[in-house]
Amino acid sequence: MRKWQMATGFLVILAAAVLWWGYSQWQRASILSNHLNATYNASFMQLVSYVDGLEVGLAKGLVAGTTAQHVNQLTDVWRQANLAKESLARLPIQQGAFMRTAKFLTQTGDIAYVLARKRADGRPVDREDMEKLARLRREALLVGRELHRIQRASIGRNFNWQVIRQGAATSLRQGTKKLVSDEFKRVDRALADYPVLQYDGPFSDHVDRIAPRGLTGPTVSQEEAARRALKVVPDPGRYRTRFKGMTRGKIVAYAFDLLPTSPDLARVAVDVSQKGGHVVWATNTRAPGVPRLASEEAARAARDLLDRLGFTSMEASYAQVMGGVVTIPFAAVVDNVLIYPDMVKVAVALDRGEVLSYDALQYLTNHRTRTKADLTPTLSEAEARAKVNPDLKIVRTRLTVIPLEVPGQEALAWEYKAEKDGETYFVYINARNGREERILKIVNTPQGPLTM
Amino acid sequence: MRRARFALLFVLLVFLAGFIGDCYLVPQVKWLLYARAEPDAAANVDLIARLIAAEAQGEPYEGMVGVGAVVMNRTYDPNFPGTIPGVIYEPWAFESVAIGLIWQRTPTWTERRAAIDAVSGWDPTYGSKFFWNPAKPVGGWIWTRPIVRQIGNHVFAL
Repeated sequence: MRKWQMATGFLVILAAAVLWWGYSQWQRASILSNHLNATYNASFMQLVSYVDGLEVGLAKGLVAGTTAQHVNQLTDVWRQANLAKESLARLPIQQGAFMRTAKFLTQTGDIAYVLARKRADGRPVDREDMEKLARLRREALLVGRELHRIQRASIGRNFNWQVIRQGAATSLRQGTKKLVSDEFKRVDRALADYPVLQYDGPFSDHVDRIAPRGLTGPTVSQEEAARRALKVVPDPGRYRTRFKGMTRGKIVAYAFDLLPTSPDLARVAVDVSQKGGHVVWATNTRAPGVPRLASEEAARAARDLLDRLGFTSMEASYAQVMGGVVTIPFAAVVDNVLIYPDMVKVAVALDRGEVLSYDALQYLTNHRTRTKADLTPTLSEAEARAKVNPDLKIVRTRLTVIPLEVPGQEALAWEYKAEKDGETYFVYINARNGREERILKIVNTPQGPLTM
Repeated sequence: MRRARFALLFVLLVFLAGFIGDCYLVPQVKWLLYARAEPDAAANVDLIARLIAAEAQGEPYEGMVGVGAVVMNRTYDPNFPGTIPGVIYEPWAFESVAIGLIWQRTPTWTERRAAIDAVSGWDPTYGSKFFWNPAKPVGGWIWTRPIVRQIGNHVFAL
């Protein structure tokens, strides 16, 4: 009898403990869930208000009369678009459901930024630019209208955002779920009828479609490609090639593995383009050991590789050492002009001077034959020097070709390596129109910035 | 005694982590590395390395770089957030972030090296913005994306 009593007592205590534990867990979960929901609600409300602000900014930008006011409005649109995009990215909506809206916000900000800079540079904004702004404003109105519809539906209700993304399983709250995901799809659908926007900015659509300019030459067979893949290693006799398949991206390429025949070597993966048979990239999968070599010695392996691949005039601008590997970007040199866009990167292991990776995608994307006229500056070095901030002490000058912010575009520029307060800067003055295209700053590291 | 040893080990580990972290602060001649790369600070490399550790454990090296490259490609795409943490922490973008796996695995040296390769612009996936394991059930929508290639167990798509 006593035993039973004890057992029952124990069970009661246990049940109470479990209940208490369950209740406190439930309470914690609901506090967390409310907190998360509140964050999502805030993001959503902010999204709506930024889209509203963006629409107003675009409208004002369309009627601004002076350059100063136009720049004001455009930079405000740029700011609101970025903030709207940030709020949107925080909402737990299923991937893919929101693509057009996200893209609309990115490109609106991008165009506003490009136009604001155009005006700030003293260049005129033409009819076409204004039409783009007008179109963006119409889209902003549509997005705003759909967002307001959701907002109206949500007034006085606590949207359960967690439910929204939980597949089809929940039946009880089906109502809310359906409402929100459908409504959000409507926002996206509102933009469906608009064609691709053509403009020159970092996030423009055409960027994905730029054909790699350096990819020249006849189509090569798989056998020929395999032969070229073996050029990546200094001792091709110790590897056999295995064809893995084709890639179907911007560059159609044969993918190979070079399998070593001796145990001290590791697998090397290589992609060789079908057009022209260029090695696009290669990587040696060996983990590098304890560094023994200096960067200069390792650089020899990199140079040998470039020789084998047929590069004749490449210059290393600097090297960077990290975890027993030195990475050396090589840029092409034509008529003593350094062509930064035509760049290949080679990484060499500092244990036995073996090339670990090679990447020519940037080179194949940008390389083309540059004529003497392309590389002749209009502005003399002295004329360009006058544009550099007088507080900077210039230590080195060179004529270079640099990539611009819009992918695929480049400029001939005078490069000034300069110092101020013990810090090093690179200033680039456009050698045609004197614009100060870019300022780069060298950030010092524990290893020090190694310049070669 | 044991506790003291643990404390010592912990302090050592913290120092080691700090030292390794320092190694990632690279000289930033920015576009020499990559046209529009974000300042490749230690934190960003670490975050990508963690994602690689969580999403691509056991994959071939180029497959690890591929996962990092997808993150980088997204930052240049108008459809996605413009920063590395923005892309990685975007709700429901990566399963390993949603279930917390990203904090449970410590990236190996190889995974860190893959992250560095991806941040400095190497892209074995030719601009891919998605990857998934075709052997596992995934949403039908994702199959509408044009597939670039398969590396190990992952397919990469634009």
